[in-house]
Amino acid sequence: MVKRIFKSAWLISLVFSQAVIANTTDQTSVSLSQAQRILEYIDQGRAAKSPFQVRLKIIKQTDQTSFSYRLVDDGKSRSVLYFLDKHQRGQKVLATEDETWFFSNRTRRAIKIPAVQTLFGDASIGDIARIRFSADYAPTSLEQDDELTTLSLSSKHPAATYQAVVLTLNRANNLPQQAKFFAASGKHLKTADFTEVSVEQGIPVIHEWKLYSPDNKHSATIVQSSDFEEISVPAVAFTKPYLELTAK
Amino acid sequence: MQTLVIKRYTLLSALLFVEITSASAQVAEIIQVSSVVNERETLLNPGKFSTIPSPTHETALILSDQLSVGDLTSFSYRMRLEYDSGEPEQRFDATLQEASFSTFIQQRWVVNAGKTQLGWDMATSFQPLGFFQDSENLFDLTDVQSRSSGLPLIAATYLRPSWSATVVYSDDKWSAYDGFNSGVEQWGGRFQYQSASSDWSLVLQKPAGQNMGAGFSATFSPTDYMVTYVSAFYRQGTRRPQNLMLDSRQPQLAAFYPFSHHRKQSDTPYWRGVLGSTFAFRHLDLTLELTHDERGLDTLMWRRLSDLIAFHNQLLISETTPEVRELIARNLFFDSQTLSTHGARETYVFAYLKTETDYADASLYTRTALEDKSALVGITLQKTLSTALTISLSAQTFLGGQHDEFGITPVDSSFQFTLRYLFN
Repeated sequence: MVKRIFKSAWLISLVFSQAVIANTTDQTSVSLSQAQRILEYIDQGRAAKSPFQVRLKIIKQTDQTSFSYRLVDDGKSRSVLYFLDKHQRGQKVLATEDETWFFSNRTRRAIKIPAVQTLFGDASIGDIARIRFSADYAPTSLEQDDELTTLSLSSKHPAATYQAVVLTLNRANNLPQQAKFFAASGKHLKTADFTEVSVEQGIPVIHEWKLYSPDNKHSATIVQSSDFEEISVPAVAFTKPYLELTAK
Repeated sequence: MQTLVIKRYTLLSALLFVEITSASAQVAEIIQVSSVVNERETLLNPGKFSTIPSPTHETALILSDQLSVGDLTSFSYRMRLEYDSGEPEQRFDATLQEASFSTFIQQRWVVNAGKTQLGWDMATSFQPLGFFQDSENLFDLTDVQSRSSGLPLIAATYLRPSWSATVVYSDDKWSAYDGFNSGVEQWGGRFQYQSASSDWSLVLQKPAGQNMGAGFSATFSPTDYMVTYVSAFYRQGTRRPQNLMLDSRQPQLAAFYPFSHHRKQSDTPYWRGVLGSTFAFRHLDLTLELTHDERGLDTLMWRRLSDLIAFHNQLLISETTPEVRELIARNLFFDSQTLSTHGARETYVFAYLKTETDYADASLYTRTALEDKSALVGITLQKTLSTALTISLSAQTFLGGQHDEFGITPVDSSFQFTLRYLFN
């Protein structure tokens, strides 16, 4: 009798624990799909779904030196960063789903580079040329408190600039507040504070963000985005051979 | 009088271009390079008899622009007007370094024509597939001094999203034949394929009067922070000039200019290649390359060159007759011609470290000859003072024993101060 009760209890606990696991899995998948939707929502303000260009200005806060760039994106997953300042003019960077290439204007060489390579100040090339969180990172967890939503992201492929990202958003409106970027070793490499974000036609547009390394918060690099414009560009303009051969 | 006319003409041209530049937002920059060379006594330079000009001051006005003609065609040029105040005489020079157009046809074709460069390698210190560009300059790896020039060529490329095919024809008949890329009539073809994680290309190239050669290149990323690349080329025969005195087992004096292109039609195979990796650490980029070029001197030929230099050295020290001394000195000059910045020997290791600080950008590089462990070591500090003004200071030193490649060089160290000013 005792044995039967024990067996029933064991069966009940087994069924109960399976139900809990199923419920937890459901909750996890719900929160991850919610996290994915939030990422895609934020990406709408960083990249359009059709070809576009945007002007970027990167300013080193310590001495106010700055460089200007034009980012042309195919609306899917490829972008080209054109250097606009006179002594860099002709240089460009191609970021595809899997690779990042730098094109030198003087020596005319195409150099494959890791996206984490420095562009200027605390801004790496991937910070500027790889603009879609949802293309490079997959959410691994979503946590919420009264004010904030925190998404943990991990890289989907080697071309992603960082191994992991922790993205903090305003819970009420899902506008991004801060992103922390981590190396494969788990080391905190840098932080981006989204200092100017607004909602325009239901899309969260990031006008300005500040990049700094955790051990040197006082020498930040500011990135300003402006002059967004939808354009028409052939798909082949986002390939390495085209950029090697054209001076544009 | 003629010099004065040229001087006036160049100055007027320069002023005219600056005016045009101001009006049309072209780029005009002044590059001033001052160099100091510290000579040393080596087997090649007994009693420091050679006179390497030092200090030298060179001023260049660089004019460049990229113009779009409609959506599909662009034109670009770069011109260098140069003034060198070095002794014994001043020098003016005007060079059209690049002038070419590229046009995009029917969403599939790109045609390039004019004087331009096509880079088919990724390596920094050596480009085995660099047929349609200037030879690399180890003292100015990113061409801050704007010395690189293109070749006159026409190229047609068929483009697809994951592959491309290029055919190029070039005839550099206006330039002097130097045994490298200058003055060569050649054609080349490249098929390039790009996969998700790697980039491959196969290359064929045929210079006039030489055998056809074949090569390849590949680039891939083993980790997030590392890119690895390889390129190699094979041909029977080489046009690189070689000192005929090295064919003799006994050192001799040459009564004529001893360099010849006698290996051009040879059946001997010559491989050249590079294997390299770049690493992006936090605030630090590192490039490592292993290069091999069988057109250079192997161990036997280097020993012959070393013996030849030692022989000429002893002759110069013991000889007193001015005419004979002049002939011996000329032979030592011929010997020195093998020691080019491309490297006289076959195998080298190249390391390049670059970092950016709040005060300046710094780079350190070294090229070490693996056969004798002698090395060239250089450092560059660059500071951007404003959007218009950049200054840089470079220093190089040559290390090695008296019979080693970089130890025999008559230069102990050299320094360059470069000022680059961009007109708004």
